[in-house]
Amino acid sequence: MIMNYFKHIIKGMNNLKKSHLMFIVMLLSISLIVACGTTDEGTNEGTNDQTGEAEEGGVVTYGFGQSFAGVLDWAHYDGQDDSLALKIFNGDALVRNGDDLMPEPHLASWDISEDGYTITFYLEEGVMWHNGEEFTSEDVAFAWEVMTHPEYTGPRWSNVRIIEGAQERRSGEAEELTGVNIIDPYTIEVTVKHHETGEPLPNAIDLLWTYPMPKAHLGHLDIDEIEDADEVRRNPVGLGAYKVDNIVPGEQITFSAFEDYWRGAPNLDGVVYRIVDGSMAADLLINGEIDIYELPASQAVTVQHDDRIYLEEKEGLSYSYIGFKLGHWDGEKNVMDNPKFADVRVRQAFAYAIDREGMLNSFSEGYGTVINAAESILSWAYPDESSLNQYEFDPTRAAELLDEAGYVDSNNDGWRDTPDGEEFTVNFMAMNSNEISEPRATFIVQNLQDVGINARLQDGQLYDFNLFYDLVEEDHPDIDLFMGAWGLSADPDPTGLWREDDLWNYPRWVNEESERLIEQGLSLEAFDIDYRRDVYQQWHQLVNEELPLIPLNSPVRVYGIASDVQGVTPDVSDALTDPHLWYRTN
Amino acid sequence: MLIYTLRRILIMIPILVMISIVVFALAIAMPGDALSGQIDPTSSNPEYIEEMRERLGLNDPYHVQYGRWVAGILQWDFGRSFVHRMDVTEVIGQRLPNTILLSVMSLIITYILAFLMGRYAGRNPYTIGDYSIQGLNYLMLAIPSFVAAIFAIFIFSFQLGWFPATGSISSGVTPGTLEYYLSRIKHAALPALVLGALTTASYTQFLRNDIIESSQKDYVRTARAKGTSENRIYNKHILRNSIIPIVTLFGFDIASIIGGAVIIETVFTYPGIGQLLITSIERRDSAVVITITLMLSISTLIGNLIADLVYGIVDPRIRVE
Repeated sequence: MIMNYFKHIIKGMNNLKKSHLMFIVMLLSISLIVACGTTDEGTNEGTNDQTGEAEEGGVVTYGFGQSFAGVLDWAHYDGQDDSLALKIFNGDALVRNGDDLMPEPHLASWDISEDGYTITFYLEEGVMWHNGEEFTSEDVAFAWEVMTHPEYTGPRWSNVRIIEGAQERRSGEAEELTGVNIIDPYTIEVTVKHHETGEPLPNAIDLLWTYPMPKAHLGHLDIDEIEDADEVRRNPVGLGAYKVDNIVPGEQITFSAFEDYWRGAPNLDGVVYRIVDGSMAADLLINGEIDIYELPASQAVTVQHDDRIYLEEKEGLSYSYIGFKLGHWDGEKNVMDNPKFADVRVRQAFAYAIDREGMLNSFSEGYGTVINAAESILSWAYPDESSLNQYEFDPTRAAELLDEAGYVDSNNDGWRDTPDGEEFTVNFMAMNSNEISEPRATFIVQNLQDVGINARLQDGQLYDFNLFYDLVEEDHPDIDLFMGAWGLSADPDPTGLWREDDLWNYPRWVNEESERLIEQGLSLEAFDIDYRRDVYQQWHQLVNEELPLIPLNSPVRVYGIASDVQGVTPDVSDALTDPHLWYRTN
Repeated sequence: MLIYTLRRILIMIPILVMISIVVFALAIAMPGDALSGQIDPTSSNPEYIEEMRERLGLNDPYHVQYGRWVAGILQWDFGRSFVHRMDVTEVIGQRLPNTILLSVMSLIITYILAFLMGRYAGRNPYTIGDYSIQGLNYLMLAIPSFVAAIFAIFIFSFQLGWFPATGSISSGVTPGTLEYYLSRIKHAALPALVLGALTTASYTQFLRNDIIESSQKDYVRTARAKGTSENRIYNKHILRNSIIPIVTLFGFDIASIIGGAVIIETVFTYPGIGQLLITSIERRDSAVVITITLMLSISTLIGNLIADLVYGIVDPRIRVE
């Protein structure tokens, strides 16, 4: 182990790049955690499922690894750094997602009219904001009005553009947002339609913005000032179980219990949201500096037998994939014109050649599930796996498919060539996101080389996140194969990533059948959930057969929680669902 | 002296212009921009990104962007941080007090350690004590700061529990109270110790060598011949003269006071300028990166200027006319 330290140190000194230094820092700290974890090995008989009465009092610290921007308003925030804080003090929306990601009533229940255009929300009564005002339909309408205003500075226009009259209001043609109709303080009606076609939307509830905005608190501000206002950054108001006490910019936020919370006063006295160094998270948990943290797999395995921490797992709402570059973006739509992987048998051979299960076990400590559809396995729309080709690791099958397609070694250089006898080389591009990126990319390249494909890492290196996506997006001619990941929304509609006119359709895959199915998934018939599920089933089967990308796995998020903190519900993106139910046992 | 000072200040202007061009060009040369990482289909779309690029002026020719940036700076407007969604001056303003606290504490630690060790080694040269101090110095010089930082966290925070491992403040303390200031100092102590201890080497050697050199000078021999006690010779005659070159080094430390320690701050998650610089580079927040780099360049220039001037004051022999 000591020798390893020195190797890293020497490597670090030769290399002046800061990112490498940081990488070594992480390696070192992980090694230390390993060292520390082993000393605790003797005492690992802890039972983590302490049951008992929810006790009152205490403070729980929720940790996160990246400094927060401090835009504490749902309509304006940008990243998870702020959304975690928002969930603590203002986590309630009109609608929430259930276990199968179906929308469920929360702050409101709703009706959808026969024609599919009008949604009526019936709000909970007696819900209070932290400033003592009551939550009413005014607050719901206010959020939509702000977000459709021409001066709105936040990034969430796509969540309100389906409201009738939104485009007119945003372009300045109309003052009123015509699609919104306040019936009484607890009832509000909204008319929605597809922003381009004007058709009714079966997934309108998922698309629509359902976080209210405290009108009494923010109503007096100019719209373009909200993002910078003290009302958002220093003393924000929410309707969650905890209210904001003090904000140390970029570092921590302290919250105290809000006794008038609509679902009952919280058990704890307060919550602290704290930014820490992610590479030391496991030790900070053991040390008691933080109580809840989403651990990287490499750290989770080192503490899984420590009785001061227990681990909770939950599938994340994302998947990683290896994509084939099948064409290019011509400025308006995708054109599938790259002959390299035009033969579907070659794409399938690649899928057979790559040991996806082995990748998961070697590099992610098994935290994840191999998937064959580009969808979250939690979703109600996830297809029946038995109807999908499993592409299990099978180099022989891969070789057969390549032979069949005519990709054989015709010049005896040890690598397969194209059917025309030309050299067949594959550039694989991957991004440098954490310590497993590089060995994992090498593993994939090795898998491909094992079946005779002359694959190599592009320029022999990994790419920085921003540069990676810039190059993938502009269809850089050197990219043949690339490894990316997508976050998913609760709604299974593939629009945005899979249509012919989607810039983010990075494989540049165009298929008439797929276009038709995606449209059907949003048609009037799709208001029937079974019909819609069936359409997506067919679509996933099509993608599974055509394979414009090889889905790798759906990750499992692992939350490390201090053993005396109970009542925590892990969720797809964080462990902040229902923080009013948290309690401490000591 | 006045003319010398003015000339030094005037010559800084073209240097500053050149620095600004280099810094700006480097920021432009970074691959991607703050928006290229925002390809999250759940909360954004390509139209929004294109619209924001247009609004932020990222599609303008480089010279237009440079002109706009310089014009802004002349009006004390350093642009807006895209990641933090606030003015750059405010982002930096939030971090600067932390960094200054950390740097001042680390400098004090450096000076105290260097003074004690340098004095001892200079007074007892070529003894075991001197060699151990030198050995220790070279060891500290050789250990990379991030390694020292991680070991310090491991030993003092995790094993002994004396200091907190991360952050700049405990939760639940009210700003303005004594407890608040103590908590601030406690959080800065460990990074300051690592930072301070590792940089003592050059100071110690400076002081030691100067003391040895001075102790062979004629005025020391005269003092000895007059029967002055050894303590008095070392503390009064030699030390005072030997501290002069050290004092001038302070000018060079000004840049580090403001710039903080990029690596140490990042390892300790201490929210100062150095950590801000790293996260801003990672997230392509170029307005912040440019401003910090410019700030560091300027403070280095000013530090050098002060060093030169102080040198002239404390040592009249080298005053330039």
